[in-house]
Amino acid sequence: MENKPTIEAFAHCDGPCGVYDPASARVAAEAVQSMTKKMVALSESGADSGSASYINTMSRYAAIKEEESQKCKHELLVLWTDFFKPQHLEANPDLHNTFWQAAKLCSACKVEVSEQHAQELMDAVENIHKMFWSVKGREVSWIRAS
Amino acid sequence: MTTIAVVVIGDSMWPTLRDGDTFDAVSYTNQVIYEGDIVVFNDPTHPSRICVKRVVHVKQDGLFVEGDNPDPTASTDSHNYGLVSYDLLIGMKR
Repeated sequence: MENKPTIEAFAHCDGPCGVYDPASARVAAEAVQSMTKKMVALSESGADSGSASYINTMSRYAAIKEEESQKCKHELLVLWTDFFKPQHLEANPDLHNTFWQAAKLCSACKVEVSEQHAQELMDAVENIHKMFWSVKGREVSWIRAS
Repeated sequence: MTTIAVVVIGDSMWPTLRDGDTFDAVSYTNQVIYEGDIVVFNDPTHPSRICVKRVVHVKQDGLFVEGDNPDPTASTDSHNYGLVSYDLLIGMKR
């Protein structure tokens, strides 16, 4: 019998199943939508737009909208580039375009105050939610926190 | 070039290699590596740990490796840690 050294090699995963979850993108997208609605509501409220209180509140809404838009884009890119693999394209031929459009919506929501784009971002995240869980072979309902 | 017996721990190379399988590898001594080869190497993020994966792309500055397991959550590979540099290579499956 050949005398040879033996080693153990890991064919492993550092993160357990569940480490990827589109819920984090959904929470960020909901925050973007919420801030967008609050900005529109405040601007139409008749409040004194020159007051310190108005400027402060509007600034905070805008800052959070920017931050959450960027966070949402990051979470989507992690799913796109780390979770999904080439073999998933067969069942989801529109995968790349879906993520690309969703990432662009994150940018649009960051720059604009658009309720339409905020809703389209939520719709895009919902599509990704469905794609994600179908790949994993699980039925997970789409829910919203707000 | 020496032969090394490699014991597989984990399922990222399933169905090619199953948890507990043993296979023979030849030590890496600058042989030419092709896409599709199975390689054994030191984990780029945890150098004391030895890993086994399949080469998907051969690049000048390293190898892009993946697990065979179609479940994307079952493998930590070049999608996570990037290219595996040649100096981390230990061996290749015969």
